[in-house]
Amino acid sequence: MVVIELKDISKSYDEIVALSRFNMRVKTGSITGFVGPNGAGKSTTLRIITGLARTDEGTARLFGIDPYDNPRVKARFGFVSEHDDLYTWASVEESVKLLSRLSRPLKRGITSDVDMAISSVGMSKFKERLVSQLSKGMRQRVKIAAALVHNPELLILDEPMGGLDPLGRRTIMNLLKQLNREEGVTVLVSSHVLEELENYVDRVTLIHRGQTLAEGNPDKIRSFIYTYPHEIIYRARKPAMAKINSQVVKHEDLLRSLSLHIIDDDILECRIVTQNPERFYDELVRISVEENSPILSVDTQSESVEKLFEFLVS
Amino acid sequence: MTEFEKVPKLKQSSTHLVKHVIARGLVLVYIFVMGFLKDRKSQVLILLGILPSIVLVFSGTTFPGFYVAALFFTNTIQTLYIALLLPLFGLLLGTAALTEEIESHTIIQLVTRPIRRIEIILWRFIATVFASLIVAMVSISIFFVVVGLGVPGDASPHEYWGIHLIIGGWVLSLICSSVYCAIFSLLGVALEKPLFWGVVITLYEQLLGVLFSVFGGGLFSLSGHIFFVGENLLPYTYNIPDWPVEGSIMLLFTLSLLSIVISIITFQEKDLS
Repeated sequence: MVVIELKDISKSYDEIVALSRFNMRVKTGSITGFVGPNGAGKSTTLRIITGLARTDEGTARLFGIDPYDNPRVKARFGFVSEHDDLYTWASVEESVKLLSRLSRPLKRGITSDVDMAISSVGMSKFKERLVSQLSKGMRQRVKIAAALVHNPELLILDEPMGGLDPLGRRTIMNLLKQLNREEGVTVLVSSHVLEELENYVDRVTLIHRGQTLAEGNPDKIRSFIYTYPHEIIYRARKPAMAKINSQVVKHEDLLRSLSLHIIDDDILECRIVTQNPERFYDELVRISVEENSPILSVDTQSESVEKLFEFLVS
Repeated sequence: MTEFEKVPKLKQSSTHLVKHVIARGLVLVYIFVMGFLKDRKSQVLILLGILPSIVLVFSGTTFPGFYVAALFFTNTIQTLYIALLLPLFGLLLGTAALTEEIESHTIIQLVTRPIRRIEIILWRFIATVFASLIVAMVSISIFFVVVGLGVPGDASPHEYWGIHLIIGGWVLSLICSSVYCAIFSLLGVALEKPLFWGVVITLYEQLLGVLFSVFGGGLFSLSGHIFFVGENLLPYTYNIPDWPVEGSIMLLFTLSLLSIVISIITFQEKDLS
């Protein structure tokens, strides 16, 4: 079963093409990661799915219904936007309660739902506190509570980890995983960092310049991404470096380039470019041990996600 | 062909639908009004509204008898509140009505819930008029008491409470708030710099409206038409030559309705982020 289906959607803002014949399907019960660099079209896609914007061309269907013209379908999903979109004058409890009332105005016993939603994001201790007095991470949790309070079948999150520390990111992803596993909530979560999502999601859609770059499970996407040439830098003393590199150069299949630099009288630095960094690391460690030649440091030149996507497109 | 999850269609009676719309509307009005009351702008507006009363108290002005007080009250309502303060309230509240929601991104929380965009505009308009009216009613009521009305005096029992004056003032405030909030809300939805254009319209009202009124006797002035309608509510004299009061009522009503309809159409097609 499919909960979200986008068919050949295009969207432009004046001269800028945000989406160009973009396609996407999200299946019931899945956790889908939606990954792309800034400006790739992720937020525009999510805006179309949630009925905040119309498509110029193509069709967007949520549970088989056009979300823009049928707001009733919005009772079936919860949305966490990338912005601070809570009413800052209200307390945590009041915020969640008011937003819940907008989704289900005549529902009785809303207080227990509100308490449960606040508790599920670990904010029970702070429910009397004003939203304006919360940290970024806490506000993010309240936004998730507000998106969950009406028990939606689908949860859509736009860059929910933005501005959070590693612990906060892990907490949110664990929460999403738990909701998916225990409540059967379908999750669509966007990010510009694949590593943030890959351990938690079933599927990943890569988007770049408004078009689908790749789709599949995280392993498939990871192997696709590792075709990108990574630069690895390691340092060793001169005699050790000579022994190590005499073995390294034998792995022609792993190397795209190799250059040696003098750091000082005793230490050399080697920069290699590989498309298979994981295997190269394994080989490097093995050679170092076998040759009894210690490596002083290993580093990787991290490229921007934009450069990575540029490479993948090319 | 895509297979979507089949969901049983909800049968909703029209009564149920109306209940939903009203319940949701009340929540929206509550959110908008509470947001306004907890904002610094509301404190500035309330201060502006009660400023005439403060000036009167500190100047120690007193009015000998009911008729003099009633005349002063009526003149102030007409020349200060209806001509200046209420358009200003409308300008500040109306232009900010949706702009603030969009700029603070809270509009996302509304539009991604099962609410029609038309509901957001209509309830926002009602809330804006309500907020403007609260400020006007509180200000006018304080002014009413400060002037010395609302207490037994030397006039006939029918008049010395002056209840008809304060009710007339409130009703006129409601008309004035509705018209200005509708027009300025439209600017807030349709334009990039609503406050700038709002000030332009207000200046037109204050400068060109007066100029035109020399030729048209208030026919080209929005506040002229409000004054004319208000003549039936408060004991003052204002006339637009060769123009029936029904014409002014129709004009104000049509202008407000048209503004709201255009706001709805504009907002319906507006991309939000």
